[in-house]
Amino acid sequence: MKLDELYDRYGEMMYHYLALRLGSAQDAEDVLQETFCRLARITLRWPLIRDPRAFVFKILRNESNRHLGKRLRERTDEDLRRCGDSAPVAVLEGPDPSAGDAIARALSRLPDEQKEAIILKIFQDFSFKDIARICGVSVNTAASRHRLGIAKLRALLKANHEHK
Amino acid sequence: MNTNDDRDIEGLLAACRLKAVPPGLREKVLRAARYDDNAYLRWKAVLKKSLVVCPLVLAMLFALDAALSHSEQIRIQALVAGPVPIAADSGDTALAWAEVSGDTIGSGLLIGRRILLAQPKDIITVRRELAALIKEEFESHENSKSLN
Repeated sequence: MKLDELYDRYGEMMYHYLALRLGSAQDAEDVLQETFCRLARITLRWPLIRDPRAFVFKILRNESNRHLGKRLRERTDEDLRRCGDSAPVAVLEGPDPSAGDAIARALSRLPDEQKEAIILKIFQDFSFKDIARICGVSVNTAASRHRLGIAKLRALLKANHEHK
Repeated sequence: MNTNDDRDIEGLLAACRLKAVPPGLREKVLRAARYDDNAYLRWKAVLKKSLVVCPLVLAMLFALDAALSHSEQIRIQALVAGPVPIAADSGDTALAWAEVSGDTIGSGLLIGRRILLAQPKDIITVRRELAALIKEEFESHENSKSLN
């Protein structure tokens, strides 16, 4: 599979996954670039891959984990103080103008595994079996992360609504 | 946990649309990937070449080392284990030894070495020389005692 073809098929999905997971457009672009650089090196192995979409997302996940780890190591005390206050990148457009931001903000406050399960299930339309394969967990764990994430998201949105 | 609420939340999330990617991202990402790919291919070519060249260089070094060691061995054997000239004059031999080994050799040590290195056919000659040396040493010792 050529790089152009790969980007046309999965590029936008990958960017959205990264933007939602990392919460920064710049980081999403950087990690997407790094992922494509990595993918460029394994072009010859494409015929051996059964499910290219899951495979691409597995690599994408590894790259974003590496990026998150790096960001965690390099963060300063100032970053720690600001943690939670920063608005996530606006990639969602809700039914009404404020809903997209509220959902994105609530999503950014979820634990990373739950947030990832929701992004993959709802925004990328993966099955729990695929999510389990991408995240390297059992199908039950993937389903449970999704369920807990949805419950927490509901609570956060409800609290946000009551606060208003 | 309320399943209907879960469905509502899922419905709300599904109703959200994802915004379009920033313009120019495709070109930016693909340009970087191609550049990286080319660099990787160049490195791959260099590594493949070194995979061929390095064993050849190693083989040449080993061959050179073996050749040098062989010639060195021959020279050492010629110096140490080769036929030792049994000079009639022990002074000549001492000089010859001193020249090759840098030692200061006494006549006793010289004869000892000659016994060690001598060919079987020459051993009797060397032993006679040793006996003569011992006798000479003994007489000089006796003389010095009588003088004292």
